[in-house]
Amino acid sequence: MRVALDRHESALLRDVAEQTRALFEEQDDRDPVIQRVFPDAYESQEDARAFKELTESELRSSKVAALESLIETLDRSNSVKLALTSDEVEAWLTALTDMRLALGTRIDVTEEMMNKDVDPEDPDAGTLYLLHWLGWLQESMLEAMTQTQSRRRFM
Amino acid sequence: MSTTLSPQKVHEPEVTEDVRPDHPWLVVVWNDPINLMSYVTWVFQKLFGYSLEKATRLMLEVHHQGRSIVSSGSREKAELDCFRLHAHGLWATLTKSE
Repeated sequence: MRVALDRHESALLRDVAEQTRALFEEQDDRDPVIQRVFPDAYESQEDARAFKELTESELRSSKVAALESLIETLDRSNSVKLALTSDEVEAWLTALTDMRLALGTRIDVTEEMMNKDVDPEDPDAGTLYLLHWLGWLQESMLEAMTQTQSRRRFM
Repeated sequence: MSTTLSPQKVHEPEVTEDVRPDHPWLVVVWNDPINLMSYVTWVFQKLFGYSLEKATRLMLEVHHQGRSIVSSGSREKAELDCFRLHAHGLWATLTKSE
């Protein structure tokens, strides 16, 4: 898949990915972002803790690896047009999700906030614009992937 | 013994044993305001091999009803499914079926 970004977009994406990776590596369990991205699997605290002990480090590694893959593909090419393998596309989709979860949870975003136009006076406007832009990028990649699949089916 | 060729009523043994598959653990996905509908649908297809139709129906259930049961099975399988959903950024929990 080919993704075209301008230099500012590429730098911004890299910056958000780095910040998200730092957050995951720090893993402060009191942070609402960490609670959302590494949620409790069970209602019972005891079961939830046991499940976390079993899975958390692998979960963190897979998330960090996806973010690193995205950073690596951005660094690989001086060109603003990136060619991604299908594994890289999957890493991007996961990384974009975690970046959006981190940003959205940080400002306690609601469905209503996501569905209306961003008010430039809103102190969270910058984060909301970024959330929408990352969402647009993810949606475009998903659309491109679906089109490739249906093309293959008819060939 | 009857020699007729007309259809005979067969006495089937009474089944008292519950033969439904044992699916005691349910994987629940909860609505969140951030994940895209198209992404959630894609994750259900990718992780569980569901058709686009089934994945879309489950995604809409999450979106409109706040939650949906997306898979079930042994505790081990349910925990693995839950882990894979977390790895893809979906908010999933496990519950024992009644």
